[in-house]
Amino acid sequence: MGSNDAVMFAGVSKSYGAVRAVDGVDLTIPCGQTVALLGPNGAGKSTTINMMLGLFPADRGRVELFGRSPEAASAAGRVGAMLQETKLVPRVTVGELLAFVRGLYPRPLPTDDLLRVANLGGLVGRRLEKLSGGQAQRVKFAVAIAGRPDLLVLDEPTAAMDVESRREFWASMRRYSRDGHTVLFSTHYVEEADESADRVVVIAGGRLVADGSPAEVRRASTAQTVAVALPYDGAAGLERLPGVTAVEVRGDRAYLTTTEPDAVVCALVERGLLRHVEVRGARLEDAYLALTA
Amino acid sequence: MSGYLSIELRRLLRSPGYLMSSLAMPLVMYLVITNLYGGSGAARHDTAIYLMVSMAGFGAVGAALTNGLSVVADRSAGWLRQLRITPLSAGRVVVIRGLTGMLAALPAILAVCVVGGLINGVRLPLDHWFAVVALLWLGTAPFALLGLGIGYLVSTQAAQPVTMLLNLSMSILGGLWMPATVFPATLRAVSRFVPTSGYAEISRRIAFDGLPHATDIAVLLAWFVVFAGLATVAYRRAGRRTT
Repeated sequence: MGSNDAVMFAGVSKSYGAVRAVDGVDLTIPCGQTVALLGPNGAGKSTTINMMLGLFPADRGRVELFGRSPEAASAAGRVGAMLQETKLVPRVTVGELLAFVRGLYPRPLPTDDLLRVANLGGLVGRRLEKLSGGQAQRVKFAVAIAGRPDLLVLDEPTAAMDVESRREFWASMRRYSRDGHTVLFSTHYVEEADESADRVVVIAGGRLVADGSPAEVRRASTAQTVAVALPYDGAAGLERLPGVTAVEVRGDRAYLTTTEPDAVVCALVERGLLRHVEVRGARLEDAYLALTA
Repeated sequence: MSGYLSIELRRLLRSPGYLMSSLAMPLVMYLVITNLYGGSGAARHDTAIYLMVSMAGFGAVGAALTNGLSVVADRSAGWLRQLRITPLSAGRVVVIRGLTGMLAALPAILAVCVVGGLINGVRLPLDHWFAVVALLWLGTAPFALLGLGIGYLVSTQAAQPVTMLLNLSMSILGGLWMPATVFPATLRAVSRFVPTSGYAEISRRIAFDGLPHATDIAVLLAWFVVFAGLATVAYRRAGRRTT
């Protein structure tokens, strides 16, 4: 073991033509952590992941997995990944595919464990082209963990899933990470990061803008929400109250984002608008929206 | 390593359309041309042998090249990128995918030779039969590698027309459809250096009880080296693109 760190990025940048997709990223992930790479579309999540896996070369900086190059880590069977927008190849059964992938790695997961963790019982004999969308995602997850990799990388694994499949998927992921494996997943769903990661790394415009536990990232933003019943004449003018940075109307309530809830409440009282008030601390989603704005 | 070969072979055997289509055209052409221009007696036997090697080679080259189109499909599905993050090395992927292309060529060679022996009355000593089939098969290696080069390099839309164009031009210029001896002098000189020419000529010489020309062997080996280099470079590039 050359290093206790699973992933190390030092000053990594990557451009496509004039567009700087990833800009000077430093990131160290110790073994055993489950990390969410959170960011809006186009933030540089997939580029970061492709460089992490050695699929794209970095323009500048150094990328290491377990103290060596990504290619060497892959060759040693320490990496598994679920890539975005890959399709399963036709004319092979689930069982054949998984047997093939297991055979490539030095210490694969036993087949029974693999089928159980990925929730694939009953699908072993099915051809890959005959799977439903949700089943195909489960098979791709199984391909990623079949070799029992020390580092599991998942690029927006739940992008095309419905709510139920998503919940089952994260349960499978947690079963794998509980066994001491390092997991990095990217997502643009804040609640997935909040529920399934030990650590959240927020990326926007190719730069890391926050890094810490979900609670820490939540605190990184001091924004709070003041919610009141929607005034009879609508939400017009609320955004001009002192201290209000954003107004959102949902149903019959108005949600005011602010860093000075006291001032906002006073202003609402003065205008006679204080009905059914509720003041809440920032949710991770609010912090995320503030950070990536 | 054997796991990858076995999964690719299963995929090949489960695409009967691909294997059948590699047989249909050479078999039909073989039967039609021998019966139209065959003549009779010894001349007919010579024509049947000559065309058997040509048409077996034509079918085999087509199948080996067409293997590249399934590589294009794998590439656009992201399967190549998935393989790249496993311990399977780039060199092995290229070798095994090339071997799959060669195995895809075998049915065409066997079918045309069986038709030659059973229907067109070709009679060869057993060791000649064996040498002709073996050399026709081994000689598909450069074409399988060229197919891979196309599969790893050319865009999804262009792959099919590029493959077809190469297949037809090499078959015609290399003298598989008609003997190069009917070509004008300049074309005949060029034909000698087209990979299909040496490929078929090596087996033809043996079928007619001779020994292969050193030039034909050298030309085919040179193409093997060129196409192996092309396939390797193309594979390295392919991992960085998705379509």
